[in-house]
Amino acid sequence: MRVAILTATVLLAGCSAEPDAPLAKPTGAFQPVSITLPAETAALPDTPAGTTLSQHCTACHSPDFLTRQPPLTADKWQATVTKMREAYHAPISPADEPAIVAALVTLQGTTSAR
Amino acid sequence: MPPRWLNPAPDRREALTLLGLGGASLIGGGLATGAAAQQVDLGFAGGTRQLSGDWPQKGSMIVLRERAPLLETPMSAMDGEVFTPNDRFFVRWHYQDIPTAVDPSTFRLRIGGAVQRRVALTLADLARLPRVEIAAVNQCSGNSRALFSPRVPGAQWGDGAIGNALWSGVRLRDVLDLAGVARGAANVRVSGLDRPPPGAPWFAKSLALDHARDGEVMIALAMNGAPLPMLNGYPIRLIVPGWYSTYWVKALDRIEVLMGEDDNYWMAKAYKIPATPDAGVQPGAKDFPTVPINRMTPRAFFTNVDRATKVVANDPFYVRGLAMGGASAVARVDLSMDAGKTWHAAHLGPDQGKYGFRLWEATIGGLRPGGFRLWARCTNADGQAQSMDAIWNPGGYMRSQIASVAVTAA
Repeated sequence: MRVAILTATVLLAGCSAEPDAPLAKPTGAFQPVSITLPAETAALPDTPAGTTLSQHCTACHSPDFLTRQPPLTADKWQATVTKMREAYHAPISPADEPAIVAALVTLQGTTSAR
Repeated sequence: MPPRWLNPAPDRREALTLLGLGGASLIGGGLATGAAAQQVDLGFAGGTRQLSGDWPQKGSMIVLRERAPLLETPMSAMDGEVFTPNDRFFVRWHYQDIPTAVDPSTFRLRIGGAVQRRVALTLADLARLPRVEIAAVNQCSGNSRALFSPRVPGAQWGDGAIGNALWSGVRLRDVLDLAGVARGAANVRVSGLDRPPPGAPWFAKSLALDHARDGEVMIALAMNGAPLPMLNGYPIRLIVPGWYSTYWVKALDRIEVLMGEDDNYWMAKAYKIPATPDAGVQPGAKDFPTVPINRMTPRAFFTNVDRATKVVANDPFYVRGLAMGGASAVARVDLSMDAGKTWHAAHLGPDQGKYGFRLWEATIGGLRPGGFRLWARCTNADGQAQSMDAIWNPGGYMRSQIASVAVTAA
């Protein structure tokens, strides 16, 4: 690890013929920053499965997270949906899960792998 | 005595000359480069991805997920670059509520929990501490997850959830000392400005106190000599050299010293790996002992050739890439064209820090017409080497199998 102590840098700069060679830039450089995220482009198909998943999944993440998963069995999708509900408190009830799992399986069967 | 096909590039100048030759004899199949490339094929089913230049403070990135953003670095953006440009550095957030605006005048880093005095530090307070600099690879735990076989759910990264930067900032130890760690404290938990959905666990990670105070773990105020991009954690993030990125908490604003273990979801349940020497288990295995993911392992990547490369027969061609040693320095990168029976050293570029990337390169010449495969293996200073065999675990973590490319000479 290279260590540069700021005070040493300042002293060096004060007596050096090349004062513009600091080891590390001081942090007066922090500026207010704001960014704008791009508009979302990913969308679910206008199908019953797409509608179900729009209701239950995309409040928390964009639909491309669904469509880019590898082929998953219903059991694997079930485990994922349960994890979303239990670990991440997704606003879905256990009673909704069969319909969500079925919609995910349908979506994977109808969208080409991307 | 190296075989006829391999000439380790002896120095940078010669390598650059040979790059011209090598580039001329590559006849397609190369990595997508330049702003004109709108799509990239990452080499697995479903791996055709869009490139986008629409993300703030970012150049062309592979969009894996729009919300919360997962942006992958094209390998071509790392070609010949030991330090990954800030505007190409990969992005990974867990929750959609991420910081999009920071006012440095009101920003505070708060330190609490098992401390002698709680403190709230301004960025100017941090800047007054002794300054340190370190080159270190930042790699997502799930980098290359999409290459797992059988496939596993999760973010389907190719190889580009990785980057190396020169991080400049202050030691976590010095920051902790401003608060005074209580006697008997065990862990240090860190979290940032991102927020969970209602009821979900805050994203927070913990390091053992001795690790947090080792003098290497640091808080970065700058990255490659510039402020961090917002999507990479502006204004400050934790740097944990040699460890996976999950610990490198972005937009760090809270440090909590814990007397005991961290039972938060993100330490107790998520980012757990099998407690086996290589973090692998039989595909489909369940109910095995686990530990939190921790140190990285060696890897070598090809950056100037694609997985399927065409070259001119009997003409030399130049290959290069980047290597990382993981928890210790890159000791060597070796190439094989016989599936690992024999290995031959590639030339290494300058050592710019044990935790950073190191460039490797070689000129390979005189391939007769036909199909070949070229493997690149990294060995680190602890003697740990990549394996020809892939590991499997249900989280898709720690992939580090030896990379290879198909070479067709015609």
